[in-house]
Amino acid sequence: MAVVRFSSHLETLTGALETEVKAVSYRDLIQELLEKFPNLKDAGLQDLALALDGELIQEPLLVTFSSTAELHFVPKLAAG
Amino acid sequence: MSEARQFQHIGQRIIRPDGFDKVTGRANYGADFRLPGMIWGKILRSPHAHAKIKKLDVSKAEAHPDVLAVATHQDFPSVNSEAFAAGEAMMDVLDLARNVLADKKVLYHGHAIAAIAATSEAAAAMALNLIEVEYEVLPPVMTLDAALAEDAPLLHEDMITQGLTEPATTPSNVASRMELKKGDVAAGFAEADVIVERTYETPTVHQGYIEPHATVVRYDDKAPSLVWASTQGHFDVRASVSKLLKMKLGQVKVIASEIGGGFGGKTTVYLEPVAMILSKKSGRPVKMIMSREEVFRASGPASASRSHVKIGAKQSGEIVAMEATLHFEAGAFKGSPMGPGCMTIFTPYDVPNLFVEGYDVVVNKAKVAAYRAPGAPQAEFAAEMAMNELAAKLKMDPIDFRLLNAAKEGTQTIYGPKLKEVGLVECLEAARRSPHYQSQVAKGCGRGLAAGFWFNIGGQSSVTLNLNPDGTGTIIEGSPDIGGSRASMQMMAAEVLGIEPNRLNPIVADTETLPYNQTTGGSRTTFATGMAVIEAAEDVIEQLKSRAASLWNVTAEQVDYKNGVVLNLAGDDQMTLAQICASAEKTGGQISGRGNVNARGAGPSFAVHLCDVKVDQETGKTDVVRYTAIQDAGKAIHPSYVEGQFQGGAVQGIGWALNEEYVYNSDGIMENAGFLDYRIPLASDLPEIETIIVEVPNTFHPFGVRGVGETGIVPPLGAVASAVSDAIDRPVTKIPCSPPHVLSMILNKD
Repeated sequence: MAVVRFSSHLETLTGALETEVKAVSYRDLIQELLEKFPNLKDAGLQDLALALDGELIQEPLLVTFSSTAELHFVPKLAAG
Repeated sequence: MSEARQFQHIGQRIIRPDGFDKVTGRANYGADFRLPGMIWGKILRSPHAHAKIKKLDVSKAEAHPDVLAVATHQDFPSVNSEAFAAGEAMMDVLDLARNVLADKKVLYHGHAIAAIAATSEAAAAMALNLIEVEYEVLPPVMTLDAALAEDAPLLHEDMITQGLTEPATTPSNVASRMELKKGDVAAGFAEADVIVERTYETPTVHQGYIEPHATVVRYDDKAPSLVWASTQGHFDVRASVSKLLKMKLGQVKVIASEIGGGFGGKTTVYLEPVAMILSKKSGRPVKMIMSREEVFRASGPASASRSHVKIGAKQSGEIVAMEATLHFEAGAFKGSPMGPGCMTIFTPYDVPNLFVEGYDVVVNKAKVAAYRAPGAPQAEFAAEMAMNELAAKLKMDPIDFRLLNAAKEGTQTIYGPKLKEVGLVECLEAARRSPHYQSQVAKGCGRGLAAGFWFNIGGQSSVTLNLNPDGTGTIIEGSPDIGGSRASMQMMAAEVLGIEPNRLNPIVADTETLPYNQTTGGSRTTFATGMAVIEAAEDVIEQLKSRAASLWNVTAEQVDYKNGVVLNLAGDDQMTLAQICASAEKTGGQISGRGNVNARGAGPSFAVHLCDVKVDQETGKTDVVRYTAIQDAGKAIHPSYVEGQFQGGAVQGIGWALNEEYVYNSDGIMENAGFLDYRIPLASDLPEIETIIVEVPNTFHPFGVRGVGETGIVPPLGAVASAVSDAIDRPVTKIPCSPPHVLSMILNKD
């Protein structure tokens, strides 16, 4: 199963540093995480970028991934 | 992948297509545009850094015969606090409206209060005197200490700190807190043999773009209103204007002028919404230009910062723990680059135990704006200074010390993901091999070194590639060219099509011509817009193959395309791109390729800078005598522009480290709002900036490109300050290392 590793901020809402998920798509991932950790509804997950095996994806809505993927939610990046 | 590829055009140094217009003065910048019937707008600005507006009476101004319109905050349709994507970051639309024209309170000296449009520039300036304002002056909050004090005057009485472990219940000047961690820092420090712990400070600085903000706006209720603007992102100017004034996106057309520098400072709006109000009220086109003084007082500088850093290592040089607390000034409204500061500060190093917390603090200064790699120079300055001190304590060469702990592919960053292929080790090794590092430090001089990291981003870009009947063509892109990107687009399209770059003319189109394009920033343009160009060129090739197949009466699968020629695999026929274009009318009409991307896979970039300085021990004046910038570009499309980006970042960072700072008096008024007193480096101040391009390809880009525009400003603060520290044998914890500051350190040596 894919692994989601949480930032310290998200950890305060999940109580866990990481979790395994059955999901293999971003949409299913969000649904699964919100079911597993209801407090995440306040985290604005959909406003965060997704790192998939180290690749930063600013708009991950249509992303799919393998069952061995490592996922992180990361603030969307600003720059100059 | 590009590593073993031989390129025809990529990596060459072609003549820039926009060069002739720029050196002959034919290029049109923000202030160069005129429209029939145009009038002039001017802004009344606050004489106080912090005050309530008790009364604002514009009636006398409105009655003046030369005045055609007056604008205040009340002219904005009702806007509520709401985050929206504009420019390079999420922005609160209410804060943006209050920044553009103050509402009830002024929050910095120079804050816009009202605007006048009049028949001439002089008449508009004179009429500002007719506006009557009564203030209740409040104590200005000008420093982090003042903002964080228990009894600090509040800038925003409704601002509650977000992100605290225990939710705050009372307002403060701290907008938010952020925390990142990895491993167990307490356990890590317990293993350390040597620890360095210090607090570092950086000042408020300006991007120093030469061209002031300028715009011309013509409101129209029957057709799209026109905005001409000097901006890094005209699509986001459109978004901001439409959001603030509740106009449909299709009602606003923005044309990006040539831009005389931006560096992140032209990713938001100041004048454009105001000019739109004035134009609507007056029924005339309105032109507005900031003076240099207005640019300094009222446009967004980079955050001042304070960073407390602690790093522990074993005697072997292995770093076991790193910890930091960062405070970033946001200016008058929330939204400093504290977040990227937290995310970047320790990313150059592969360390098991990390902890960073950051605070976004409002003060009575202009709202900060992006400046090349926003947040990273301030934060990484602190980390790199501590790294050099720790290397000295361990009696290790600073490059060896960094190599021992360098981030590489697979390193887990503090912000989460593991790094893909990155080039820090290659940069450090190139630095060690460099003639600069191999040279002896001259007598009386000091040497410093620092590394730097920046993410780089991708994002949305759209490109159309139109071919003409003679085989020439136009690349239509939506990314304002702030660093020579038009040449890079030519080269990438030419590489794909197998033709000479000068057969394609790149232009930056307005917001009606292309779909949305993200702002030029985040080192994204050559990467992301380049991917759109490549996609458009590949689309063209498919069409060329299809047209040739039609002419030869074979299938598309029976033709191939190579070096600008379509080959008939079922026979001996071949046609050049130009020949197919010449017959396009017979095969379905003209040929046009499209590329629309939301580019993923931006490649992070590392840099290492070396600096030698000579310090006059009697005056404290510091001269940079040798400087080398080494950076991983992934693949340098146009090496001259890549070197130019390295050099530009280095020079701006040198200025930040040595001389640049906003100087405020006790009333919160900036005392050096001009280039005579705000001292940016001149060509005559500096040696040639030597450059070394490292190329560790980004596997997500067809040619291996990483962004190069921002990383180069990250290391100079640490490299220069470490060199000064070496020259005067004192730890430097605060920049700029201006002559008075350096002299003070020399005199207090004992």
